[in-house]
Amino acid sequence: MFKKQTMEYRELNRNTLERAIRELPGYTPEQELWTAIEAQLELEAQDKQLRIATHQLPLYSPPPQAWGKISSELEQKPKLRKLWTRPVLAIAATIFGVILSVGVWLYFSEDTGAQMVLHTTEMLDVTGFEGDWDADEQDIAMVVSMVEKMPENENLNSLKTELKELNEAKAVLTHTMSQYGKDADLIRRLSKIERERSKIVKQMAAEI
Amino acid sequence: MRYSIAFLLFMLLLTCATAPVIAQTIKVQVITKKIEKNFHYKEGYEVNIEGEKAEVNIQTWEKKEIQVVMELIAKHPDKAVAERDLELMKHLAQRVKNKIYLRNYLSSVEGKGKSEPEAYLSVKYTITLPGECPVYLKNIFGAANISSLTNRLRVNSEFSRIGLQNLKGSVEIKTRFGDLIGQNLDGWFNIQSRRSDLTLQNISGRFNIQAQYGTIRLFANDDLADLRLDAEKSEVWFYHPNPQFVGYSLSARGSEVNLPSRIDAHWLALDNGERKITFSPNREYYPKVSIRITFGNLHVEKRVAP
Repeated sequence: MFKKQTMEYRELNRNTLERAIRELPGYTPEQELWTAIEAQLELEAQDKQLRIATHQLPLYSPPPQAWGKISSELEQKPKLRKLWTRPVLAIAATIFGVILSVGVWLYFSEDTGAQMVLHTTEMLDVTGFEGDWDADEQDIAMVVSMVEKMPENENLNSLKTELKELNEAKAVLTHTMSQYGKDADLIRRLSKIERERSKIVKQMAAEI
Repeated sequence: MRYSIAFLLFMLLLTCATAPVIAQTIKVQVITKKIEKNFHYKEGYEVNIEGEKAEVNIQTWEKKEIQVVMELIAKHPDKAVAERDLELMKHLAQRVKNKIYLRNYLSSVEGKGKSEPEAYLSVKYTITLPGECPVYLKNIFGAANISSLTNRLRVNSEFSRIGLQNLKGSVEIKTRFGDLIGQNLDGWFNIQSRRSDLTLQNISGRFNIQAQYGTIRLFANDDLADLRLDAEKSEVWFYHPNPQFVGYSLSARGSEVNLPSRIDAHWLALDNGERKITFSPNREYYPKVSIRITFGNLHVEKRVAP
């Protein structure tokens, strides 16, 4: 409590600060971030599984003869010999190695992709794109409100659930239209949903 | 007579002139950002696509390579608006370990005084890959045309049209508010469909379908081994070249069922309002068809060769 009071006292232009904070732009993380996080989590899960599996492995101690054999082999000094007796051969081998490495790298590396922007013009048919799909919402709402006042039964509940699903689908579709623009396919899908909504509302009205 | 023809022509002209729908065509500037990227294919890789308002075309070739062409398209009468809104469409084409991720999405409009995009926006993917490469596709408000895959395909789709052609292997489809149209399908198919229409031509192998609120047309061939269909509030047509040589286990509740007259079997009525029928042809091997229909209609008919 004391700390809070002290902080409030120190901030002379608190309102200005709060307004400035409110005006800061909001940012959403890039899609690549989630992909990277997903990959990292997958890797960690695999490592964890591997660690658990390592602990479960049985332990075996080697027979005493094995150590004797290893120490006797270590005592025998290896004989070193010069690999390239001629310097020309060594240079040629180096060049060959470099070319081979570059070739392998080029073959296995993924290309960064090509990108281009094109500009054309076309005629777009927008006949009937102005929507009248919300024209009857008031009447639909009236039927729903009347149904809400009625005693519940299995058929009405099922109709309400169906209408809810269709309303949600309509909301998603109209939101997409506002973001991506209307096209014939979206309008066709919306028309189908509207036909199904009409059927449900008619059935509801018949129950009143 | 001459006057009546003239009168008719006049009326026709009047009707055409006062037609309520007047065609509206506008000239738009089309800005397309085209991205091309190739990936080497190795066994165990999977192509993972998440499209939004995207038309996704998937085809195969002999090369051990995955080729991706993405086109982000913005259309508007004003070129500057089309260019501005094109920048709102983001994409991703990246390999992370054994998965090749392909994405498109609309970044949120930030800053003061900005509203929704004004241009018509759409995306097109053309993906060419080896037939054995597994594919996962999630698409909303778009279309998909997938052909000649042989290994594993998973599709999760909403408000989209899915076209499948010449597919083999294991296929899982989930569709909501969409259409599924398939041809020459042979393998293990698992389909969950809600408020979607299905038309599957020339199907063989094993099919497991769960459907609600849809029109379902299945055209089987002689190699169909097994079909399990659970259809609720749906209209179902099942066609087979020899429907009398198929073993049936049918159950219907609140539904009409039409069977070919050559199938000699009797319905068994249960207390819960369900009717059941089983029929086995007098043969050693026969396809097994098990259909449960609730509040819909089922028609079993002989398939006439196209």
